[in-house]
Amino acid sequence: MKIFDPHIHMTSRTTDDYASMAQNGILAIVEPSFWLGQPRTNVGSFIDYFNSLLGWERFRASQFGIRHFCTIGLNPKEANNPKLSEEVISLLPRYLQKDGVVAVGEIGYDDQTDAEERIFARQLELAMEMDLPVLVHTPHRDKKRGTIRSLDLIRSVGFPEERALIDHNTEETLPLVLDTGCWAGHTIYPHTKMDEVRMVKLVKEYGSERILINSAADWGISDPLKVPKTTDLMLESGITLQTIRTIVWDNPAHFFSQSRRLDLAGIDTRPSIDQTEFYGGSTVLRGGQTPVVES
Amino acid sequence: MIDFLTETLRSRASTRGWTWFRRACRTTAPVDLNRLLGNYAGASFWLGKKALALDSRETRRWKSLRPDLPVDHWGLDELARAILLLKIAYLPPGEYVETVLECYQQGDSREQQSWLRGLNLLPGRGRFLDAAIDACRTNIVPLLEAIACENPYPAAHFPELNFNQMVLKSLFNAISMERILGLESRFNPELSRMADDYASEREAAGRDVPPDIWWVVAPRISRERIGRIYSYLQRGNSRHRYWASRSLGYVRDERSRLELERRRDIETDDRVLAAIDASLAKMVQ
Repeated sequence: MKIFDPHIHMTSRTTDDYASMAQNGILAIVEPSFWLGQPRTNVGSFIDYFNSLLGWERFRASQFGIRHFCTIGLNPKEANNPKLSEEVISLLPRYLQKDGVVAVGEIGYDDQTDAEERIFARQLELAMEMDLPVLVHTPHRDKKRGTIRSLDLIRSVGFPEERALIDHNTEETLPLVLDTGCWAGHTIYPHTKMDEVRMVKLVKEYGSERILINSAADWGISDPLKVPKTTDLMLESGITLQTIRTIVWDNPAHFFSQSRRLDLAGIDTRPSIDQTEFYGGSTVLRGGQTPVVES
Repeated sequence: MIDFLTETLRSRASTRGWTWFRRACRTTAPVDLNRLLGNYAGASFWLGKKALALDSRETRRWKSLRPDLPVDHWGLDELARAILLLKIAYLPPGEYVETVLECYQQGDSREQQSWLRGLNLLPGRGRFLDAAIDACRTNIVPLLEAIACENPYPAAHFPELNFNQMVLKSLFNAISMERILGLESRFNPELSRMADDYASEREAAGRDVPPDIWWVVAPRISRERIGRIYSYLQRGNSRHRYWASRSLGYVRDERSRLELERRRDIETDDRVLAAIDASLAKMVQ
């Protein structure tokens, strides 16, 4: 089964993760930009981070036969820093026009402050200007209200709903999202957000239309194999192959192909690996390791 | 106040630590930012992190100075950091705020925790509101606890939205609501709604809710939501029954009184019974 994980923070993961992801069928991933787990103190830190998503991380993924795309944006937590947020917003047009950037994201609400709303709205407008979809994070706290506010904001700025992916849904928010034209992401986490069993129930109830699942694996307790694990459980639970394929491949591929920077035919097969390659003089190999080279 | 704090530090510091601290204080006038940041960091190394644990005489004295501010749990290093920031309070206001903020922004997690506690001693502490709010966005639980728990700052200074978010985040992190100082003075209908929505989300996901959540939900609850609290009066887990009982004391209506009385007839846990009686007594008042 071909798998597309539409939300995973690979900069926080190891090469072992890449190897097991590839082994478990993951062919393509989207890495949304987010925060570092602690606040950044200056805009230069964003520049280096965005560059690493587009550069070294994409190369690292390629060394394991995985296609890496990313989304660029100012995350909601850091939208609350007025000086930094202005500086980052002014950087964005430069990054949003680069190859491999398939959406503006993660954007949205965290504490649901006025500053967050202002930055969220500006990034929705920027996405329209750049003709890109958006990846919208929904808050952990006061989630239902945060989701409703996100959907309202998308509508009020006139952002095309079919180009918005609303992420981290739960039993209570999924029906709200499906009532609009937006797509609905689900983060399968070991302890919070959503788990495999609950996800199976949701798929049985709502089907596969505009529904996606992701691991959102990062530096916290998370699991980069949650999408294949959920796929397995869906199969065991009698959900049809076609439904599963729609959720773990067709939907993410179609959603992000709206960026016109992801070629549907081109991502269908695993890229061949050549670990003799270097990126800016660096390699994922360490001394004495034998490079994998596929013809 | 600074004399009392300095004496408290002196009586607990090692000779080595006290010598270091006196030298560190000499670099506060004039301020050399780089050395100040170094000393702010070095306090843990030179003085250690042992809790102050005031004796009864000191406790009386401290309570007469700042009854709102518990310091028993502060480490020696944290007290030293607070004194250093007090010593530079002679700076012109703009420069003072900037220098104090540098100590927060350049600090590691322990330094930031100390800063969030020490904040309560600083002149014009409302000027540091943005940094204190930002601290609540952390993923580091001890840092969240430094601002949310045993700290009077949020209740005294946070706007409602930020206060509510901090309480919700504390619930998420299984932090006991009793540790949030001044929580009762900040109960509001929006907080009640947010906490009740959180309980509903946990229930929909088949997960347990923090037992003390009702203490936040009940005081300003809207009538159509109250049934959820009644249902927790019947839970197998006595902590749920305890907190549901205790929280209903805030809801002074006939239905809640009847629900509590009905529970009292079948309740076997002494702690829950005491909570029911206390709530019923509160309703009569």
